[in-house]
Amino acid sequence: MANEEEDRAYMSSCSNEGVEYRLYDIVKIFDKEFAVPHIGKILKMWEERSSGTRKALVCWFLWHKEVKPHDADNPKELFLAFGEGKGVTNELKMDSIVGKCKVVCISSDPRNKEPSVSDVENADFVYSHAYDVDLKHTFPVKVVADKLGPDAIFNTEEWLLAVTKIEGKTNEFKSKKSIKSSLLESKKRPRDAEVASKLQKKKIDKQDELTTQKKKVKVSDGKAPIAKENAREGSVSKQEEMVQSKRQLLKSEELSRLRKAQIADVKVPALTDGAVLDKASSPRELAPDMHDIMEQTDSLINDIVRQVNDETVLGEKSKGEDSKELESRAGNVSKVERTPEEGREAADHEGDIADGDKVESKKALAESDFSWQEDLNKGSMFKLLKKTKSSLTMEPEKRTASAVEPLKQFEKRKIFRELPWEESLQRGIPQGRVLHLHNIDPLVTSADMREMLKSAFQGLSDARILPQEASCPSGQAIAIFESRLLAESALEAIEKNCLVMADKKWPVIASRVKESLNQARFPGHLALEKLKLGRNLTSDEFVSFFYLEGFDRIWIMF
Amino acid sequence: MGPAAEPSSSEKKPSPSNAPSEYQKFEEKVKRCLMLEDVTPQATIPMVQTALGQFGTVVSIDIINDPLDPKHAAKRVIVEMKTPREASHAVKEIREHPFMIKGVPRPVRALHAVATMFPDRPQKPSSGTKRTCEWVKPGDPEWEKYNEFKQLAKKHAQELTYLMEVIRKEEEKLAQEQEEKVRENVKKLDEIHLCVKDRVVHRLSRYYGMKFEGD
Repeated sequence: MANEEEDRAYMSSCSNEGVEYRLYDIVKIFDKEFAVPHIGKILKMWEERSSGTRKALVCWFLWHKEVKPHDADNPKELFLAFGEGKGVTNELKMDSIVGKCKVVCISSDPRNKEPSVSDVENADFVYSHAYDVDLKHTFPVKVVADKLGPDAIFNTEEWLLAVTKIEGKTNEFKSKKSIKSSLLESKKRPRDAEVASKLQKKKIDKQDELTTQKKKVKVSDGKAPIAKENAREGSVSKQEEMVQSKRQLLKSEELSRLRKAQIADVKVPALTDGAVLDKASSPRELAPDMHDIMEQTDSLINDIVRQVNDETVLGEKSKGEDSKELESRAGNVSKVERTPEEGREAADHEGDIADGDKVESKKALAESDFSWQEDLNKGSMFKLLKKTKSSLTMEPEKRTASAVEPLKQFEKRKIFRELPWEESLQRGIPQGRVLHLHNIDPLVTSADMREMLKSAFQGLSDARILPQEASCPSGQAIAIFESRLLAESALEAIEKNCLVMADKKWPVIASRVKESLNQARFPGHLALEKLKLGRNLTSDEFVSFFYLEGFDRIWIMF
Repeated sequence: MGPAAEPSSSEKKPSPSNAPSEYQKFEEKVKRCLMLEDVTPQATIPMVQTALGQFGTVVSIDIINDPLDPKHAAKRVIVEMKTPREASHAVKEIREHPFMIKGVPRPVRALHAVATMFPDRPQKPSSGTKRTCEWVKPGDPEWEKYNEFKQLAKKHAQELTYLMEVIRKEEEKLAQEQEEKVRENVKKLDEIHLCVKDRVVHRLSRYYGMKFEGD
């Protein structure tokens, strides 16, 4: 449209909510239906003169799981979408961009500025290949660079610098509602100095108790070590410190104690105040911790209202329960958000509802499961916090161990209206993740089914046998997959080949489960209620009415 | 709805020593159970309890939703009675006379329970071999046979869905007709009631010189 083009004023950099975005930056995009933000690359930015809205053309990155569900090589790898198909790029309003994302290109092309090892470690994601959505295969990203220009695809000096400066975690949702938390921050700013000093003192005390001390955390007295650390900050690269400190803190028990003790004082967003900042320690983590909780609940509140695309293995069960739990508590937490004293109140809530921690942590855990494979040493602060939250004992445990614990707790709880798997089913159906399997041997149990199908299909999250129709000799089952792609590929596989159940040797057939559109009510209910309104008598009271012609009496019986 | 007193779900794997006993318990329980089909989705556990209480002591009730349409499709209810005799007595009675729950003029069907009706049943311990499934690819020797079966199964499934649709339409039609009739009847009776209330009948009786005895 010629008019559209004239209307646009293209820009090469644009600032949105205090962050300046340049062309070809890699950003996180908030989508209300997804718990995890999408990642995309800004190709163009413009402002529409008529309406004043700022928009961007974003090219998406695909998750490793979507493109290569079978490989487990590098889960941090993303793939740049490419092709003529739909969904490769989208025009979005700048508002939906929530921040830059730590993604670097690791292509070996000479035009690409190779990131350092620490850069790669710090980055949340890397990419070196693109994925052609039409031809459905990956290819090195330099081909795209030939098309769009090397600056568009490869790292530039500025971008690598910018990546190091990106604070926060990839999964952190700076949604609109988090503006409130930033307001809070501004309110707390005058108190920064004293709070931070209090924090440090406390921290020092706690650290004294520690037995497992690593370099930065070794503090014996007063503020001198802190000052030392601060001095050291300048010398060592920021990111490296962060990573190592994360490792240490993960292994120390101090964190949970600190967190609980200091949570009342938290909300120190003294991130801009470098002198006061003790980077390795709690303030930074605690503040984002609170942010996390807020934002998580915010995002969860959104989830409850809409349907969440839950693409985790663990999350299926717990998510259903999470949303229910949080539904009831959402009221509490959102109220908390709106008070200036929220830090303390939220802490109380946190302390009181210990289980809630698990609930959130479960969800958080599940989310992190999706994003990264088990790799405790890499990753962002956020992931670290999630793990600390999820394990109350704070061992450097494997994630599975901690995940199993909360899972068991959930199974014991039966306060939910719907069975969790039914809820996940209800969520899965509109997303096209559910398959209906026919011709199943009716003697197979649900557990058997799940095991069998897990070995047969990739990415199966749950399978259940449907109650058998009395007259039907064969059984039916439902299989829920983690994503639509996986469900579709399973369907294709069943169509092409034969999946045969052992014993009875019946081939299984599958069909998609469509959302049931007809909300017809159960036929048989007679809607007498409507007719009864406003009348004194109900039809029960009438037994019969006789009018006998010719007789001299009229009888009415009630 | 969660079961009232069901045994543990099949998530837990029973240890080999008490596995037979758990399955035995399950089998024994099945003998005491009956399954009600075509129950209105608005039925609740207390309702079913009172309804079946006339046949004996009800131990537990489990309402099973149709997962694909939990709100509107008919539900099944598995009722566990105290003795097998009570269960069979209930089944017999319900089969002979139309049995309505919650006053819905759509009688429920009753069947003796079978192990396959319990979706979360424990695994049968005797089958030592693990069940597996395998893929048969187009090149394999038995591909033809399986493919034919598959096509047949598909055809059956389609026919089944079509028939269910037809049945559903018939049900709806019948329900509509009945509702019409009920409406008419209620209207008629309402009018009569109004007549009495407004003393129309009294006036008429005086006019015709008849006596009116009512109420």
